[in-house]
Amino acid sequence: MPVQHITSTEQFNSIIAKDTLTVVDFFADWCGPCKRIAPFLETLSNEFTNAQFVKVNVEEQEGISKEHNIAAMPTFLFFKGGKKVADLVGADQNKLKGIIEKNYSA
Amino acid sequence: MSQAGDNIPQGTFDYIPFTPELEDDSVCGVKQTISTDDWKDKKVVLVGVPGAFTPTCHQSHAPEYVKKVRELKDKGADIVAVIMSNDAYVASAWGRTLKAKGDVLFLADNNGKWAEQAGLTYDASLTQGFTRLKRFAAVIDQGVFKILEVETKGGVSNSGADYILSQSW
Repeated sequence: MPVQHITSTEQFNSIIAKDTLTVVDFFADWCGPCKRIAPFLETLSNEFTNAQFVKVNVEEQEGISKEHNIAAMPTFLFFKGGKKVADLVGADQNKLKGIIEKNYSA
Repeated sequence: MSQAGDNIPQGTFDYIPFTPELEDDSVCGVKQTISTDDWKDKKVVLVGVPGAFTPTCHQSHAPEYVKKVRELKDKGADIVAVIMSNDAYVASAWGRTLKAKGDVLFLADNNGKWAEQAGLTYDASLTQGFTRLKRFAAVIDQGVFKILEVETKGGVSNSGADYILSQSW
């Protein structure tokens, strides 16, 4: 499944409310580490097809970023049924995949 | 110029919250804003410097505050912050260089807009590129300058951490 771009708070809240695992990538266009890990996130989204993968541009969606206290990019948040189950600060591929594997149900 | 007993001007500053991941460039900081309104019920030690990485403040002024932040907080400071007219990214990088680890905030007063209202800037457009802050140290208690020490010569005397620690506030 392709990674979906978030365009509103309502859209974001309805996506993370679902019971399946949702992986959220908080990023900015000018952020190098975010760019480096973006293709890997695409790969993961094709591998873990029962999870939802979304991207939030912190400058376009300040409300969502503030609500979730995003202080650095990339930050990955993991949700299930609207509840945060894990977080990861920084572009660490192994940790990212590890958290998904731990929380994923096919 | 403002003096002890005056209300501080109202204003906002940009800063990048410290996270350890900033140290190895695996993340980019997200710029945030802090307002002087957030200081209404707080005691703040605010240190003004002409610029990040500039010789005197880099060698002895701001680093002393980073070193003595524990003593300042034990004495009652809720917040210890260094302020400059550089942008938030430069301020953040300087703070990391000084290993402030978020204990001392490094705030950007863009073009000295806040400090100018308190008469704490000088025009350095031809020598240092843009408006700079005078070197000073202040203890702000509930929005009022309780102590304001402004350096008039080069170097650090009464705006130094040791002098501020020796005063009662």
